[in-house]
Order: sequence, then C-alpha cells, then structure tokens
Amino acid sequence: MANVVIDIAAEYTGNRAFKQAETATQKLEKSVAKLGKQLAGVFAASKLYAFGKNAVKAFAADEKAARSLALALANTGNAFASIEVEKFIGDLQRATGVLDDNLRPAFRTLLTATGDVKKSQDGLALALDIAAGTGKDLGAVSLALAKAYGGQTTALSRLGAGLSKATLASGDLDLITSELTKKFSGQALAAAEGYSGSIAKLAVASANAKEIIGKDLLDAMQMVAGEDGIGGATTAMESFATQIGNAIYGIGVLTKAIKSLPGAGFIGDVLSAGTQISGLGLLSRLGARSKAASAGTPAQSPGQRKAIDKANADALKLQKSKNSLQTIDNNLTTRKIVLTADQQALEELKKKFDVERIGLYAALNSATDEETRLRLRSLIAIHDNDAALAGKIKAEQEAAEQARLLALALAESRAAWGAWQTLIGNSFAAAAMAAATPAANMPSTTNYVPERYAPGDIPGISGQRGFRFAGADSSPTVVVNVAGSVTAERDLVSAITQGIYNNQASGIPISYSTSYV
Amino acid sequence: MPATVKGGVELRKALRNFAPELGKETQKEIASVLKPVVKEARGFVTTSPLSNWAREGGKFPVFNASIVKRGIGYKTTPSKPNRKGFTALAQIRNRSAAGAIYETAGRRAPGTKPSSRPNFAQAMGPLTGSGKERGRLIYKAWENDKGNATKAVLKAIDNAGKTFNRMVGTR
Repeated sequence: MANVVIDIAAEYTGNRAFKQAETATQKLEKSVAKLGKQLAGVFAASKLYAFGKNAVKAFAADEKAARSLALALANTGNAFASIEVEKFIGDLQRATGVLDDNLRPAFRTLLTATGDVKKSQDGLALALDIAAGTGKDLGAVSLALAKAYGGQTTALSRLGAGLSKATLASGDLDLITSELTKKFSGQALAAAEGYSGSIAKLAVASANAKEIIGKDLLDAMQMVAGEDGIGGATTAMESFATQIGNAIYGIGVLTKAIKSLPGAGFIGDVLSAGTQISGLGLLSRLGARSKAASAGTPAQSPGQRKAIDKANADALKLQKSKNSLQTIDNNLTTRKIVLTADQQALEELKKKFDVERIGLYAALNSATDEETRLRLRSLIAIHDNDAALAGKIKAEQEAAEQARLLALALAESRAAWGAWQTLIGNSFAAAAMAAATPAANMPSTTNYVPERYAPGDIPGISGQRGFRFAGADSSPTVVVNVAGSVTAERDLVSAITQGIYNNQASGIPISYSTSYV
Repeated sequence: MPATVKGGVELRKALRNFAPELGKETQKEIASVLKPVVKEARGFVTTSPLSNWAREGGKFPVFNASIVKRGIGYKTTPSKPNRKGFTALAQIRNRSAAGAIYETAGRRAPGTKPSSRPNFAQAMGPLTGSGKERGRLIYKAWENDKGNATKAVLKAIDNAGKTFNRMVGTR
C-alpha cells in the first residue's frame, strides 16, 4: 500500500509507549494469572459464595450511593439534574478511571457545600486533577474544596498543593481555583492515559461488572425467595452453595478415581473438562435466556446503560422542546394582548373622528327632555356596540316607564278621593237639614221615600260597593263606583319610596327633573 | 522533519472527551488550512505523464488522473505512531499507488536500489523539495506553501489548547 504522507505537527510518543507497553504487558500477565487463579477458585463453592456476596455488597453500595446522591440533589433543589449528574459521573469514570464509588461521595460533598450542580461538576473536575497531581485521596481533596467554598481554606493549605499564604488568606475562591487549575490542569487526564490509566479503567470495568453481577444475583435471590423475602433467599442460597460444593467435590472424587484406573486418564480429563465447561456453558446460556425472558428484571449491562442514558437524554430533549414551544406560545399570547390593547386605542381614536357618533353626541347635549336623551344614548350604545351601556339604558327606560305608570295611578286615586270626600260632605249636609226641619213640615215617614242615587249619579263612584248611613231606618244605599284603584296613604308612601329606590338602582339621580314626573 | 509539539495528542483526546465542540472547530480550522494545499497538489496531476502509463495491463499500477486526484487528501485527526514513534496531528496524503509513484519516482540516485529507469523519472519532470521530502504533487504544493500551513496548523492547535485551558480554568 502506497503511503506517501506529509506529517504536520508530529509528537514523539514512540519508545516510551513501547516501554510502557512492555511493563503493562507484564502487569497484565500477572493480573491475568491472578484472574485465572481467582476464576479457578470461583469454581469452589465457598469462593462462589464469597464472590456472590461481594458482588451483591458492591451493587448495594453502588445503589445506596446513587440514591444518596439523588436525595442530595433533591434536597438542594436540583432534582431535575439527576440524570445529567449520573451521566457526568459515568463519563468521568470512563475518562479518568476513577470509580463512581469515589466520585459520587465527592460530588455529594461539593454539592452540599455549593448547592449548585455546575459548580459541583467544575469542583469535582478540579478535585480529580488535584488528587491525581498530589496523590491525595479524592474524598479528602473534595472535602477541602468544599470547605474552601464555605470560606475555610485551612484544609486546602494542608493538601500540599503549593498555594501561597497570601492567596489562601485572600479567601478569593476564584483566585484560589484559578491557581489550582494552573498548577494541576490535565493531571487527571494524564493519569488516565497510558497503560497505568488503562489498568485503572480495567479496574473500573471490573468493579462495574461486579455490580452488574451483584444486581442480577439479588434479582435471582428475590426470584428464588418468592414470598419469603430475602431472608428465605439467603438460607436457600447457603443450602444451594453447600449442595453445589458437595456435587463438585463428588465430581473431583469421581474424576480422581477414574484417572487412577489404568489407561483411563484421557477419559478422566475429558469428563472433567466436559463437566466443567459444558455445565458452565449451559448455566450461562440458561441465565442469559432467563434474563432476556424476564422483562421485570432489566440487566445493567454497559450497552443497556448507554441505551437508558440515551432514552433519558431524548426525554430531556423532548421536554426542552416542549418548554421552548411553551415559551413561544407565551410570547405570542403576550404579543396578542399588546396588539389587542393597540387595537382598542385605535378604536378609541377612530371614535373621536366618527361623524355619526359626533352628531349623536351633539344631539344628546342639546336635548332637554329625558326620554330623548335616553333614546340618543341608546343609539350611541348601539353604534358603539356597547352591550353594557345598552343594558343600563334599557333598565333606565323601564324604570322611567314604571315611574310614569305610578304617577298616573296617583293622579287617578287623588281624583277618586276627592269625589268620595264630596259625597260624604253632601250626605252629612242633607242629614243636618232633615234634623233641623219641624215634624209638620216633614212628610209622613210612612210616605217617605229615601232618596236613591243611581249608578253614575256621583262622579267617580260606580260599581257594587254600597253603604248605609247609621240611624236611617231604611237607609239609602250609596253605590260608589271607583274608576282606578283606591290606595291607602301608607301604601302610597310605600309605592313612592319603592319608585325612588328603583330609580336609584337604575342610576337615575334624584333631582327635580326626575322626581317631578 | 516535521515540527514537533508536546501534549498535542493529549490535548486532542481531552478535546474529544470534554469539549467535543471545540475539538470539531479545531479540526475545521486545520482542514481550512490544508484544503488549499491539497487543491494545489491536485492541480499538478496531468492526464498522463507518460503516454504508455495510462494503458491497462500488467501488474504495474495504471495511471488514472481521477484516481490519483481522489487519492490526494488530508487528515485532521492524530495518526498512529510511525516506526520512529512519532504521531502526526495532521497529515496531507497521496494514497493512490500510481500517485505515489508519480510523486516519488527519481528520488534515489541512479544506480541505487530499488532502481528505476532514469528515462521514466526524467520524463515526469523534476522533483521539488529537499531530501526525502521531494515530490511532484503534495510535496511540491507543500514546498510552494513555504511553511504557512504548518504555522497555521500549529497556531490552531495552540489556540485550541489555550481555549481549553481557559474553559477548564474558569470552571
């Protein structure tokens, strides 16, 4: 393959990398050998039990730390950033080779001190650099930084970070962090590069694997326990481990016995390997199938974690889109309100130059009688499409009509009252005259025919109402016909008061022009 | 001998991990510097330097101008370390077989191995550049550029480093 190239800005990474590769390979060989021994040991029941216990413990610790961090986020009002923070810690773990078991407490410490996710993330990045540069524990460094955020720089001075007393005494956190950044920038990344970093990352992967296995073991235990809970599961697990141990021991004894037979060494080897490998393979396949089949127990493999992270990120993105759409909607509503106000102002201006309206107002100003004024106001309301004003005017008109009817009724009752008074006066006068006349002059009572009044003789009195005068033997029947209604004084006063109330309710002022109807 | 830098590879990794946007911008900046050189190098490709070379047949790579032009390009990501342990942060490449022959034929002195017929190399015209960095396409364009591209690439990397440190520093 032809390879004619011009290298631009080359960096020497060669021989040192080879030496590191050599050292790392040796280390890796040792690790592999150790891992092999461990794997061999794992086949023993007790080792299997211990591994399972450690894995469960690791998962429980991881889950506890994650839950604690989530709670800390919620307590500081940053619950919305939970997914982002977990992703950040996951990324940081992969990039720096520092376990999330160490990252989470450090982040929580910083979060408690700052109360701000962004500041805590920056602080954690700085703490990682300082820890890598000074060789101090990440927890101690993050605690010192958290104290510095709170104004105590003593712990920071003891880190051996080479900060001057003047800088520390200033208490200016920006200055302190900038100096620390200048001194330790890139230390964490540098530590993560190369083969030592690769081994650290391998350790991270191993720890993660342990946590994943621990979770699956816990799920499996819960599955085994059923209704008895974890307590039943632990008993079942112990007895299961004992049984497995016994079985393996039995296989060992059997293999040894077969091997001791002359010419049967090969059969023993095959049996041993076949039992272990095929049995392990079967178990592994069974476990994988069961995991895939059970929808309720999701495995936390790195791929799935990545998928979950992606789904969470997508959901966050969707939520952000929704929020932005809501913001746009709000802005549009605000704009609409502003436009409506502008439109109203324009309408008001337009009204000022409306000739028809001006004419109506001129007529209203020159009108003297209230009815005309009301009509004109009604026309203005119709012209302005002012429903409220129209309703008010209608009420006024109705009130005026009621007042007019009341006045009419009053006039009629007054006339009836006058006629009745005249009739009474005449009757008394006639009676007095009769008493004063001598008996001789009096016509015989036997021939006396009382004077009768026919209906319609007395103006204003008609109908069936009649009365007798006291003392008269054959008392004359006076028939009073009333055209209209006869109202007592009290009722009259009440009716007038009610009329005034109605007018007041309709907004008509009590003045001479309104009361004199 | 290319200009050497220190920490460039680490910087690119850091950019990729912690400031991917800045990393992409840096790559674009480097690409904008290298594009003109590549364009000029492609301009040096003629229809066929030798009349017989464009004919099919035999094991010798056939000269096809379009393939040779397509083979000339650039790379803005760090390369694998070469035999001497150097990693290039950017490269200009002439990857086609015929292009490589056209680029380098006649570099070795006559009589040394692997030998090529003097007529063959002479017919393609003189090499431009010095030492091992002599050629007719990318090396010629590189020589014509007079180191401006190198300066610009180094400046772009330096700027990216400063920006990244500032970002980290202001955290």
